[in-house]
Amino acid sequence: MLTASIRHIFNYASFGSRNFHLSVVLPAEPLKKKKRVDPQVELERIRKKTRRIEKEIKRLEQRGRYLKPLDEIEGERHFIKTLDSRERKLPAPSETEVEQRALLMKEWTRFKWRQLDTECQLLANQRRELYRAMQHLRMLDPSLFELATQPDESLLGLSLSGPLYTLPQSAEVFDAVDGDYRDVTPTYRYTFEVDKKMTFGKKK
Amino acid sequence: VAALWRSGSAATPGLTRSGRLLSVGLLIQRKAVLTPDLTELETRASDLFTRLDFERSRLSDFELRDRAESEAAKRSLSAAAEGKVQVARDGAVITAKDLMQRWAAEQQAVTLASREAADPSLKRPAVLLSTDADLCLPCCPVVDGDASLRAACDRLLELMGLTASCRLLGNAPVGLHTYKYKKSPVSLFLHRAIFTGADWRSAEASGSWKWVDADSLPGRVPDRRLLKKLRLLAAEF
Repeated sequence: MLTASIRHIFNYASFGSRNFHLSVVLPAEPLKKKKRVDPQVELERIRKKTRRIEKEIKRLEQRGRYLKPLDEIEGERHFIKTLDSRERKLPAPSETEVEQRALLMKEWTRFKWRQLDTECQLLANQRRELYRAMQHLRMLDPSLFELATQPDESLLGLSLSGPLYTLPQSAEVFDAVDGDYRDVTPTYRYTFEVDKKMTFGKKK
Repeated sequence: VAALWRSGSAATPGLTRSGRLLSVGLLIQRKAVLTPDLTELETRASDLFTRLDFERSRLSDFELRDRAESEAAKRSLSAAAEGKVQVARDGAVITAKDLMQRWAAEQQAVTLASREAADPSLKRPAVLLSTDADLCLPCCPVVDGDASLRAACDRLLELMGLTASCRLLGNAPVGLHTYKYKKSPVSLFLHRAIFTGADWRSAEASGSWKWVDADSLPGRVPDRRLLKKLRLLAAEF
């Protein structure tokens, strides 16, 4: 109805002789021409996608996830939310107790400073003794001196343990419990669906 | 062990450089086996730091659970005392208090070996010295066949039979001791070694060597200059 009226107006208008005409009103863009999908190309595209995902799984299983930088770690939200409820309600120490603690800390600080000073002097004396021995060796035999300055490769695998609080007990007296083992190996499971039409296989 | 050379006594032929006889000595150290006793000040400071850590800490999940269960138990007791009907909630079969009792019982079952019964010398580091009155440190001259001072030390360890249980630390000597033997000057280069064997008593099995701690050194080392050097090099940190 509308198009007919519009056509009528233009046909009998002053510029009708110019032969303007209107086609039917188009409500939408004309449909694009449907491309023919090559099944081989589509299959290749799906294979590439699955290969990419499998590669990512393999990488994650070998190296694990990328770790977050320490500066960005905000802590566990569960603990941050319950921080107020986790406060210990202990009585405040008395003035005597506070004074005793302060005096003990002063005494401890003095003791550790004296210990540090003694150890630094000991190290300096040992270094001086080593220097004197090496100077003497260089004076006597430069070739032996050169060999003595070489790094000792055998030190790399050296590991020492101890001291212990008590001597170890024999197995007859105390048999240590093995304890429980909880496997926390991370596993990754990715699921993706592939159109069955695009896969080769036995058809039902 | 024929190649062992007494400090200041009979010498075997060795390398000479600039008219001085070269020799190497081993300072074989054993680390402390047991932790030393804390002094009174250290004990008080340790207790204070433990107390401060506890005061500044927050409640753990287990302590929160224990607190919640205690409060629930109090409420149920008070409700029962008032005669109110309390709806029983589905709680854990094992409470936090039960777990604590179980752990305390397991801890009591473990008995540690007595520290008092152990040899007090195990609480201090020691040096391996000869049992012979004249001998002190194991040492031997550097001969033509030794490519370096380290090779001479390895040869000495082999002669002592401690190659498997001792590790030499570094190629450089850590100290020097000079003395005269029959008017010939001798340079004794001291090398540090550490005993890494499982049983420290195995080094004393032959009867020729003994572990000596720093307090007993004056009685074993007759040379005062060497004693001063040994005290410096064998000092513990």
